[in-house]
Amino acid sequence: MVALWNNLPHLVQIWLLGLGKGSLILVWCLANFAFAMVLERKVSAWMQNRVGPWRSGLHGWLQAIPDLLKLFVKEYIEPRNVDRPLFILAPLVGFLSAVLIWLIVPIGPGGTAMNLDIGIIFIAAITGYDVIAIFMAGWGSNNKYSLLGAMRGAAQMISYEVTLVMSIIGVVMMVGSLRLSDIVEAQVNRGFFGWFLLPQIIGFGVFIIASLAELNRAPFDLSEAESELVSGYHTEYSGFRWAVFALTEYIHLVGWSSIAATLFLGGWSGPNLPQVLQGLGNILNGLGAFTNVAGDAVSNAAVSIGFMNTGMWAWAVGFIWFALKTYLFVFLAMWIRWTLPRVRIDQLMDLGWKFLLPVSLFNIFLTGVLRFVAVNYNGLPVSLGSFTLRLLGLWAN
Amino acid sequence: MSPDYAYLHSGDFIIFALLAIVALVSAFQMVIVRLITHAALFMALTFTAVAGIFLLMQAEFVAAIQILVYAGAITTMVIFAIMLSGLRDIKAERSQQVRRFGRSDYFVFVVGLIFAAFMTYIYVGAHLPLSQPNGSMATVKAIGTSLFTTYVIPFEAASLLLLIAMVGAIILTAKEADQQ
Repeated sequence: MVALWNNLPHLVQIWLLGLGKGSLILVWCLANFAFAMVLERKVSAWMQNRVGPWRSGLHGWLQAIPDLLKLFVKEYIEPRNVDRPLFILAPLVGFLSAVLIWLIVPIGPGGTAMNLDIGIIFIAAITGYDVIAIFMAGWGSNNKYSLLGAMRGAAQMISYEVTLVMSIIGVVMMVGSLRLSDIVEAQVNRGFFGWFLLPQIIGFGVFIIASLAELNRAPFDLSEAESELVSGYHTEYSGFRWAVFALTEYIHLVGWSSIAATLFLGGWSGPNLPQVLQGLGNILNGLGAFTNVAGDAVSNAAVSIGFMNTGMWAWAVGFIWFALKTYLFVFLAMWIRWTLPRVRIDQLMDLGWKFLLPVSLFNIFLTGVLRFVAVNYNGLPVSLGSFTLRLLGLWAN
Repeated sequence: MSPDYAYLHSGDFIIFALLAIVALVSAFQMVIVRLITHAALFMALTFTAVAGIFLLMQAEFVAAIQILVYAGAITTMVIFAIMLSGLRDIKAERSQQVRRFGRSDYFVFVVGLIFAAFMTYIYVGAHLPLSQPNGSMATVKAIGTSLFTTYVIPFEAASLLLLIAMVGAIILTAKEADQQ
């Protein structure tokens, strides 16, 4: 198999690799959609004391399959006077930008489809197409409600995109690289619990709020506020064209959650089974103070499965941690959606421009000052200030 | 030095040609299309194709900024400008027949020709450096370092200019808000 691969011309290798990666990303996105959509319905039912999807397959966990099949065979209703090219292209443009995020997300050690140097900027750039997609859908539908929803969505997204990028800058300043895999490596190198969650807690808070607004999710779902605008820019869509919008929404949700996990919770990093057992054995042995049978047995077990530290095993563990952290944020978004009421448009704009943006700028300033102090006065004796900096993980080493 | 004809058969050239055709055709469409919203979207397509050409030259940072600033921000700004102007007029214009050749068209043609000649003159005289093999394009780090060391004065001047523009915009809108 390897010999066959090596014999292929270089160009063929590149194309096959690209096709393979692209297909894998698409499959991964669809699987995430299927899971996140059912999860949302389950979570919402649970929070509102309802039953929720329960019948189709495994207590309702396969609900996405009949849903998609149903939408696939439904009629495409197309109102008269729509701007046809825009109307048809809009869902696809949105879908493309949602899927493209996954190109650079590290889903395991070295598990990035394209390890781009520009990382975060790539994501910010790709998000620009969402605005265009929403506008295309709203304008193309030739419907007042759709257009209103589209304009609201566009205004909201460009406002919060600025805030979102500014909230990430703090993390980038601490790592010194925009590459997402470098950001994960930096958090691994910072040692136990070396996530950027604590030193960048301000940036984290701003990022979570701004990404909810960027995703057009409740409490910021003004562009599809069903009590005011029917359902905003996708009012006129039906059948699979509507389904593509739903796909986009959930792929986006999982994509942004994965980025939050990568930036602030250390991405794929996390202890694997031998490390956990080693730690457990250490504790059972009283941190080396005495030895007993149980502690030795656990430590020996850790050594005997030491092969799990390398190769595919490490990759699998990294992937599991990544998925867990990602779905933590997915659940957080759902929790917020089914708990908080929708904000008004003026509240939304005030929150974005008058509160979150100044706060994220202050975070950049604070990170810069603390980094400067930490790098330039590294020889300082341990004082209260430097201890706090160490605790926050802002110290240079 | 004889021209390297092998390049014309390489994958790079084929992709470049495709992107260039998309960029040129959509730029042309942007000018001639009747609906102004379509023109804005064609503009975004042009910028995207140009970003693709940057990507082909392994200038990832420039490509991303091209998409972020031009295809993202500027297109959105144009769309907002369109939406804030009379929307009904835009839709009405669609049904109107636009006269193909007017008196001013010859003038436009001459101005266009002069501009094209000027651009060609600059391009030929520019002696642009050849692209470097093995992807030795500047990384983000190199660009950032040179921005804050070698080119710090132009950088600060640009940011000052932007600040002045922002203050000006705020003063203009604040006056309008006061009058209401």
